[in-house]
Amino acid sequence: MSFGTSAAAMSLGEAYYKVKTTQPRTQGGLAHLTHLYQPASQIRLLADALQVSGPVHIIANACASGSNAIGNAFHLIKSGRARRAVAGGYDALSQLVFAGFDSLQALSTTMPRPFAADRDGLALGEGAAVLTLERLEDARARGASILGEITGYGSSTDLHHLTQPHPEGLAAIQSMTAACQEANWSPGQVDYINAHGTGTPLNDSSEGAAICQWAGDAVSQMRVSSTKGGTGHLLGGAGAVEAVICLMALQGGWIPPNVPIPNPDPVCQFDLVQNPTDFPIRRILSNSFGFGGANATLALQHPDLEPA
Amino acid sequence: MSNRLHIAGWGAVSPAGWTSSDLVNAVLDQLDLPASLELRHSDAPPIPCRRVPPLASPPTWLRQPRLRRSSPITRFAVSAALEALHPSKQLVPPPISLGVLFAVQNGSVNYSSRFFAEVLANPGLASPILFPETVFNAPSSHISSLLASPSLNNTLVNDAGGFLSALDMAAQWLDDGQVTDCLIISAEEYDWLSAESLALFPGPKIASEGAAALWLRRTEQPSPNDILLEQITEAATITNLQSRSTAIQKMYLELATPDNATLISAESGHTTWDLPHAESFAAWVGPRFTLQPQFGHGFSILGGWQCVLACELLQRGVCHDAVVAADTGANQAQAAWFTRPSH
Repeated sequence: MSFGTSAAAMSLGEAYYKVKTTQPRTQGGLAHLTHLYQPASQIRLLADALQVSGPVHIIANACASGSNAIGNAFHLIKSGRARRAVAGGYDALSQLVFAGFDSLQALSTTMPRPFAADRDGLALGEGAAVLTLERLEDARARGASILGEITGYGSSTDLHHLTQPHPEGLAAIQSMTAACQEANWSPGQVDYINAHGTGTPLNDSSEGAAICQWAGDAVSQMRVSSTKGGTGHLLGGAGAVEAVICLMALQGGWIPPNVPIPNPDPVCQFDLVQNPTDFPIRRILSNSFGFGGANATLALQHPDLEPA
Repeated sequence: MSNRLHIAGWGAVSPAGWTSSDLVNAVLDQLDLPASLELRHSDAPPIPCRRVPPLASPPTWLRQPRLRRSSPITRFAVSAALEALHPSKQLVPPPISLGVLFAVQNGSVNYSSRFFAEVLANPGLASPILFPETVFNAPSSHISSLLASPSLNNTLVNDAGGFLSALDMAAQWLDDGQVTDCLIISAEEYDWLSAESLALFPGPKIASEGAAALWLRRTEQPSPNDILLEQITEAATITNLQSRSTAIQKMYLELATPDNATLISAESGHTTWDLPHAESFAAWVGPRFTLQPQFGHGFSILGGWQCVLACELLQRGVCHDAVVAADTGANQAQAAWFTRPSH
């Protein structure tokens, strides 16, 4: 089991803090609260529900956690260390996290508009997504309904600042390049990029610059959108939920749209998809970037394509 | 995997001091590390703890801009990481593809506590300086930045067994060729929030703090004095399907160590809690060391301290094979076997 989370059950930690600061001698009920606060306890509940007991990895790479967890599971299976993996990401809203993003003035005071020239921040969301990963031959052998194939995973670290990406998106270029190298894809073969696209001024200009630099001559044909305008930013759950959106797009043959914006940022030299669009989509990159410079890119392809 | 991964360096910060030698000398000399009692509120019970002693003077690496606002957990982590890479802790970016794996349980709880207090008092005035340092991966981010390494960097959240999980993942990264070198680090800082929680569970009640780090790298032809990671068992997860006793026994049975290997255990000193470990290792004939009764509950650092002790004992020739058993956490049981080919 490979899971990503950023704040996990922070609200339980907050409840513990409030009890301890208002009733310093209280012990009753706190053991249960403390136990459930631990991410490992949360995954154990899932393991018990699924009746599985394999090794557990819980990755806390801020907003890239979900993608890192899926990429980690992909490599466990690809290398033969695991035959199957349950992988995903989750986060729930809490006072501390909300106030934290507010203190950084990262929250939109209007609505999140990724890649708009006048974007003013993100909207927090909460949620989770879980994927079951297994070797392609195993899935075929058991007659599984295959939703998509993960063919590459890239991860890198942005060294620029704890909370701000490098203006040219150097680490983003590195993670997209690594994912495509593993998938054996060139930029021109990628049908769509599900961008991290938070709607904050710094992320979107950095990621936009990175996509342009990485795509090179193929940039004008590169279809890009961020789905966070609709879902909000799910932090540790974002990468997993967006991977599911990408799988749905592969299945349905459509491109998930950005929220419509009349005034795209000039960095958008790519095709910013703003309306639901039918398209026989085959190869997708999904980007996730986080505090601390955690960058992750997943390469997903349609199951009908030849294995990479 | 085993004979091609070697430990190129290690570092530690502990209640015994700011180096791995301090840690190991305290163990070998059986030093009594005094516990202090901290009172955070007049109505709250005093909290016993073993803190890291203050530094006599600020080290040069602390002048780095990225560390200006960092909390103790980051400083402990950086110190251990730099010692692992260079015994004099010089801040010289290594000319290698260096992955970073950071194991943690409580994280930057000092800043989380302070920030949340500000939120409750007046959310509009909560400090934007504190919040970024509260995320679990802030310390590992600072380390990658200080070392100018844009390679893979994962923070893993677990309990006392987390360091071995991170070591296992590092071995995977090296085996897969994703990096040529990997730093495995764990760090925790004292805070009443986590320290008081120990009173709610069986096991040691004295919280401690510090860090541990190993530098793991691939080697095609190990030299006789290299310390090798010979084996790491699969993490045996504790679930409804697999009890703690079963997990520990599974870990024990997977170990392929020689009979006279030195065992470095995670025993807590709490008889009931340690019983499954004691039963599994009842027939162990080699020497035994345990850190927790002497150093306190280091949360995620414990496994790291055990590994540092193993490497130091091997380097000093105290033993030829050392086994680290991280089996007294609540989440999993996992063990690592370190050896020197020279014997």
